[in-house]
Amino acid sequence: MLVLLYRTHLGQSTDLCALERWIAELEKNRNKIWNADKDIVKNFRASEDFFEIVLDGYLVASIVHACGFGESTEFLTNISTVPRETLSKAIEALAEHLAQFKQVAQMKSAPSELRDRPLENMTMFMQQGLTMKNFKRAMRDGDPGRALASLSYYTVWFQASSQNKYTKKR
Amino acid sequence: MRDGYYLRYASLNFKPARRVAGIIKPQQSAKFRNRVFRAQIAEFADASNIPQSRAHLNVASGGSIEPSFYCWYSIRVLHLSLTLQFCSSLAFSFRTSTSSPQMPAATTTETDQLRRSARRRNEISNYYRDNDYGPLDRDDPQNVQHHLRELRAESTRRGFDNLFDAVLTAAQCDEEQFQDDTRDFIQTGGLTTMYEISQAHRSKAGIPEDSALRRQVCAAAQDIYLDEWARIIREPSFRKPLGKFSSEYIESFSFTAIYATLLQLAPCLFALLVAMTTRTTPKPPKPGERVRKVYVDQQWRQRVVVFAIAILANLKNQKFNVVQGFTSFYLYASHTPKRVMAVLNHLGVCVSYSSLKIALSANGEACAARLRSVCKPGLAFFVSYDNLTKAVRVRDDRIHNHGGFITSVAGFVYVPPPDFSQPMFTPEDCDYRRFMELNPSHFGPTESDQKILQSAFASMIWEAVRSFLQGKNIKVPEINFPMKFIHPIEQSELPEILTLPMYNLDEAKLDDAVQIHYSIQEDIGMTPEQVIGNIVPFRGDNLTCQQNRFVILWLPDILEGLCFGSLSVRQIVDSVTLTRPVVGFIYRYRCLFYCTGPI
Repeated sequence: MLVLLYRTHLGQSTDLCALERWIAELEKNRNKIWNADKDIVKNFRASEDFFEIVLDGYLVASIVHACGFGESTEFLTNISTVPRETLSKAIEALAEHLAQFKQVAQMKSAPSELRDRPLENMTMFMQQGLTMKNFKRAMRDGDPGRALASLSYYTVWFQASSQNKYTKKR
Repeated sequence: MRDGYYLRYASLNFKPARRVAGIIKPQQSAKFRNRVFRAQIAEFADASNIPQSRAHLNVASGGSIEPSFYCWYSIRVLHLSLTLQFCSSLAFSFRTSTSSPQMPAATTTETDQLRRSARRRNEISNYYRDNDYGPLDRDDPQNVQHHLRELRAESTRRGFDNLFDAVLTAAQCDEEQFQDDTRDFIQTGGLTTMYEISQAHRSKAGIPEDSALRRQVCAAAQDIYLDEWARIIREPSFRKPLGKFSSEYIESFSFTAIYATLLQLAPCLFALLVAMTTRTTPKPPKPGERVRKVYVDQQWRQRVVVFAIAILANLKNQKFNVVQGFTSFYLYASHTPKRVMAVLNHLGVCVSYSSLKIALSANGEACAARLRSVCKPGLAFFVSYDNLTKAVRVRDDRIHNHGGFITSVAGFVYVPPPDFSQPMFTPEDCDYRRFMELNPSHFGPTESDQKILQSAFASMIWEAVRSFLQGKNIKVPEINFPMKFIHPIEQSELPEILTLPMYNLDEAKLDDAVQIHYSIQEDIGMTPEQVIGNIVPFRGDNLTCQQNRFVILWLPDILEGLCFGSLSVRQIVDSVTLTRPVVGFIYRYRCLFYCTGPI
């Protein structure tokens, strides 16, 4: 699944929301993360760690924006003044938004001049990243019920990818 | 008011009076008191000529002695002709005047003349002058010390070096009473108490320097240590023959459990080992290094101590192999070369390689026996297997020595925990017709999945924000988005995973796939009745499922060329595809074509 997500979101270093750009921004060693020749992740732990860092950054940025702040430093300075209800509602709203997996398809269906491609990529990245993270957490917590919720989405993703044999296993 | 108080007060400057005061003690017998009093009264009479003595005596008597008493003394009436009756009555008069309730009545009739020499007596004739503490009172330290001093003085007077010399002599005495006292003293913990007291007062200088004396001191505890050591050696749980090594025994290995057992068997020996192996001062952490928790060192120490004890015990008795056996298994699993194990065996770390082979065979037989008993309870389980391809490389490729791949089949049997177990499935439990109703929506996400993910997303988003705030040392708002559990696995009830033997077969080949199922059926010990009447679910990857499903699609065509007794082809096909258990079909007709599709 991590390979699948990297193939989807690696992009180019010039893209606004692409892993390739964050590798350069965060000064990560690309050769330890991604094997471009074989098109697979090189070091699973390093790749997963980097992926989750970017994911957490997106999530925090979304919450900062939802709370009405433009910068994270401004959010940190004024967090004590932000009501708890505001923060709770921002989190719930973002979770609800990301749980709607049709959102990106609807955004893509808009006219090309109205499309916000970085937002589409960012939303899809957070959706898929959180789904994978949920699967990992569910396995760690020993909760197959929650893991199956992620697996149902995996089935569709694998079917749409070149690794559709995993779908048959499902 | 204590006895003789005024007399003692008066005797500060008046020696005769002080001596008189010492005479009047409740503990003295009347006979002894009168005898001493006679000796003193003569001096008293001499001293009564001094004017100030009268005043002192008046004070000493508490002012209750009549004036005629002084006159009586001053005219020197009292002299050598003083009779014993007079002394007794006088003594009684002194006792009653000081209001002593313990003072017994002096009723002696002794009339002996007082023996006196011309020399004036300077020595103290009253040995009990300060003995006004009464009987032993353990709550009063002064009282106890006083009695101890008297005891010590008495023992010295009787020829012993000190009080302990007397006690030691009594302990060595053959008389039963002393032996009983000695035994009671030791059994009631007196020896331990004395040792602890000596430890409290111990200094480095207190430890004997002489090696012979050191050995003598340690020899006292040697019997206790040897007794505990013998208990360890005799413990049956530490002497498991390698041939009886089972998977349960191997899984039960725990350094902590062994340490607890050893500690129970040999508390004194392990107290010594703990004292020897515990750091008196914790190792200070380096700058930036996290402080190690105490229990980490404890576990480390336990492992080392258990290992050391095991090696020493193995030296005493080779049957003591509680650690060596498991170490050998670990080395074998780590692909340790045989020659290395031989060296370690000579060091007592592990068993010999031949013994290891015996243990491995025994373990394999135990596992096989457990596997054969899986079907006995008649409870449901499932089997999973897959191909296992291993690269076999050779250093120098020759005509008859090529590198290549070995393909085999490895699998396991999953036995659910007792609370989740249910009877084995029967054909009635499976409705293969419903396969036709399956469609992609059964495998795609549902609304329930979406709600589950939404809740999990909220929890993970808050977790990311909280980590961000904590990383910046900012107080985290009190918001809670707990991760919901949908169907958690009960941690306390774990399933049993039984590994299947490795089959030298290739599941990609249809013949081998059939043979795999025959082998599994034999290894898990299915009875003929279970083969016919029950269904065993199988799990596998895409190829495994594909191979098992492949046959059933072509079965009608293949079966037409075969003979199946009284059953028609249609009946056989129906029995296989719809109701009859597939494995049962195999057993009954010995047919190579069957199916065990996942259920």
